[in-house]
Amino acid sequence: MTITVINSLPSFSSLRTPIDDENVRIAQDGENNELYYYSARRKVTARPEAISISGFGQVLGEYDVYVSQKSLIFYSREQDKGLSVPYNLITVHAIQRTPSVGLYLQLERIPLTIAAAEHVNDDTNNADEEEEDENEEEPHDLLELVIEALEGYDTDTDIDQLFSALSDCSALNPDESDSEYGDDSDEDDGGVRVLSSRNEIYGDGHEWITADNVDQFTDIAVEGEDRIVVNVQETENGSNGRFDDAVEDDEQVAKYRRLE
Amino acid sequence: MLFFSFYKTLIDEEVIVELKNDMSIRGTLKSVDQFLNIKLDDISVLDEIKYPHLSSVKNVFIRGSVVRYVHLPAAVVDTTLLEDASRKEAASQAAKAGGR
Repeated sequence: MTITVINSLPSFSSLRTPIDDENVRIAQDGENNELYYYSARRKVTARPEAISISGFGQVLGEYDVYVSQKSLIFYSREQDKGLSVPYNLITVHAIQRTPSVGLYLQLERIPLTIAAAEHVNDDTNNADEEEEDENEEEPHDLLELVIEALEGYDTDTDIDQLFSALSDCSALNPDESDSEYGDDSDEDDGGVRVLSSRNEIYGDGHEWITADNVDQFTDIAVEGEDRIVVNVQETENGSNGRFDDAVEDDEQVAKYRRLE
Repeated sequence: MLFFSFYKTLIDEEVIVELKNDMSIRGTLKSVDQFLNIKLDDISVLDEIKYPHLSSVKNVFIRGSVVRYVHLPAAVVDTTLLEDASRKEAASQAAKAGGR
């Protein structure tokens, strides 16, 4: 997932706290996109300041901040456009206390250009020749943003809420490509419930299906007293795997009858 | 879930998290979740000159997918126990996958 420039706000499925602002729209069909935090007209600064996000421009001025389930959104009312940042690009977020209170964000893999007229500082490790070409895009190592705290408000609570909202939403959006062991063993099931492995019938990961827990297995349905129907899905090479013999009709359903 | 449980036993210990973008952050482990997202308190960045960005920050949330290494104090880890547990976990994962 990459950062995208948006020209209108998405609709959100629900709000964590009541928000009295006509800019925030709730739609019944806003598919599972809960809004965890919202704040209008927040000053956002970027480091380095001259950085420009491809297709969007410089991060300068005030933005409405939306921490939604799907992405972090900065929306500018003046320019009527915004940035939608998926959480997998937010490597780190933190509460900054000096020089001012704010929410610090570190983003990666953002297509950036540095404004041709300015050289940020002499310590930049990129070759100066590349920076002078405004059209040149290269994924930078780091883009940092700071959402400044509200003045005259309960600053700490607001920043804490923003920090928590970001933490929660980041946890809701784990990377899919990572094969986090133990988390996605069910995805590779292909609908087939493994009752035992080749070598260990009673080893770790083994589970019996009984009348007591059959409800937990969504790919198995009990029909009447003497039939269990298992949903078999095709494996990648088109075969039904080990249940080939048991399939009786064109539907990919294996039926088992209790033996008398 | 082995390492999730393992990290929970290290809460309040000082660790150094090395990120895939080469930044290293030292701090006290305050929380971890099943995706190994990490929250650290009282952080300091190891190469502050190269990374002045986080010098004014006290607490961070680090996304689990950007972590390359977590450096732990040797004294708090029973490496033999951890190796045994990892081996068992790996074997049971392989068995689950092999049964298909």
